[in-house]
Amino acid sequence: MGYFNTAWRHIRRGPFQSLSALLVVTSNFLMISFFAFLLLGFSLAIKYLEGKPEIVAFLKDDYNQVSAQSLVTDLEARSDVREVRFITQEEALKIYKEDNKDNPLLLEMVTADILPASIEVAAENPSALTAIANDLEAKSDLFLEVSFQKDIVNRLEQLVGLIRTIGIIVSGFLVVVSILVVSVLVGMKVTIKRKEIGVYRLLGAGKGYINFPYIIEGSFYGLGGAVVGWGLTFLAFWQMRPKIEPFFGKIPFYPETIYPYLFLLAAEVLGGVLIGLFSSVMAVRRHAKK
Amino acid sequence: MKLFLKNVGKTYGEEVALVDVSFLIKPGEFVFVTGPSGAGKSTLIKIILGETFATSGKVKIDGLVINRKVKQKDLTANRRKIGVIFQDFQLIDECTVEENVGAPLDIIGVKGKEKGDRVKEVLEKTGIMSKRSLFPSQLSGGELQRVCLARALVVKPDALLADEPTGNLDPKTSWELMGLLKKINEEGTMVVMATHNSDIVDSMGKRVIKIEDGKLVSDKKKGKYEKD
Repeated sequence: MGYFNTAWRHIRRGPFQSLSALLVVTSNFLMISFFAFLLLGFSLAIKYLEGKPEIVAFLKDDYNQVSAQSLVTDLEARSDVREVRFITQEEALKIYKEDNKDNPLLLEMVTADILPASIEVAAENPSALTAIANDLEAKSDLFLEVSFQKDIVNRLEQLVGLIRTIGIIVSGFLVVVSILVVSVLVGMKVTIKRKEIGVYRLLGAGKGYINFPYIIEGSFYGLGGAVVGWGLTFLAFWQMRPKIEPFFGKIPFYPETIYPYLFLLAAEVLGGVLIGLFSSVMAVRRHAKK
Repeated sequence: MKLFLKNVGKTYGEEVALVDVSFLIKPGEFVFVTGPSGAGKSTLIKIILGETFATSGKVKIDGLVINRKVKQKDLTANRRKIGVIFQDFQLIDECTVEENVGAPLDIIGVKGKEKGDRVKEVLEKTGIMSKRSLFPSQLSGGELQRVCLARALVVKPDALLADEPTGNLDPKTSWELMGLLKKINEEGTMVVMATHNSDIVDSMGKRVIKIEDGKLVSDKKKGKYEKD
């Protein structure tokens, strides 16, 4: 009987113990996955916002066309400016119509006149934003309002930082719980099988032959818990997509492809297997000394 | 396989189990180790297997000195050359007869057809082929001891150690088992059997080593069971 068959026999012969270990590890990975998915979504949102024109300066209705054009030329010449876009009132209306094409009520009564022309400025890096915004705000004769997206990004980054910190603390705690549960359970099984282990030793079995099935069993709990935990979280996030996406509007919370989620799955599987390996090796070593 | 013990002693704390035991068993010999319960027979078997180590003296098996300093790898390799059968069978309850018998082959890495053939061969030899799918709890004492013997033989050992193998068997089954052991010995395997079954010892006419209170009191080439 190979190591895998023996491990499978151990799992089958103690179904409730095995199920308990699997459920504990699964519930822990459910939480870990939840934080990971949340962080992935917010990271996408931040990346999107950072890549968008960070400063939007709305021009007064009676703005001077020549002054505005000259300002655009000046901005384009700056080394800390990546891109400058001049949006006329007509273009603003076009964008507005596109954004609200599914809501005819919002399209009624809106003409180009009530929408201000604007200059959108994207900086090379976030640190240049304040200086550019200050320069634009200084031209109060030209602008109605200077909207500065760095505040939003900062607040979002603070939120992500908080989620990350809570996630790391909770995940760390859950990893310790998983290690202890798998270790205690595998240890119990080793104790129960003491007679069997003694027989194998007398038949000439080495440490590897005796220990590997328990190590495989521990890894199975880690692997199974990671896959099921990830799977349930993925299904929940996918089911909630129609409700979450409208809340974020144009800001992406879900990646364009499934690959980032698959990357998380791979990381969790690796983590799960390592947790299982570490726990079972710990249990086998502790009981082998007795 | 050659088995050599010189002035072997064993104590468990204050308790003395063996004192100055010396003998040499040559390849292919059939030897009974007799003596009353608690004489030290099982301790002797355990020392040969390396399950416990002698406190004094020297134990040498095929040139390998078995003591506390022996490498685990060498001890494991040594155990693979020795088949063992026990009074209490020591079978794995969760495994079928076939799985129990095949376990030593798994340990040494024999797989597939060769494993199947060898298991089949010993199951037929020990007469338990029809029981191969049953679990130990479904077998009688005699059948269990046959499984134990089949498991010991499947690796084609150089020596067979039997620790009171007839202790839990009725006379008829005991004789059937002895017939099998005799046959195996005739095929060239060394057999060392600890027993206090006088009928079996007397009728087999083999070498008898008698141990009493941990001391070797007699070693006769064609001995009889000497009652106290």
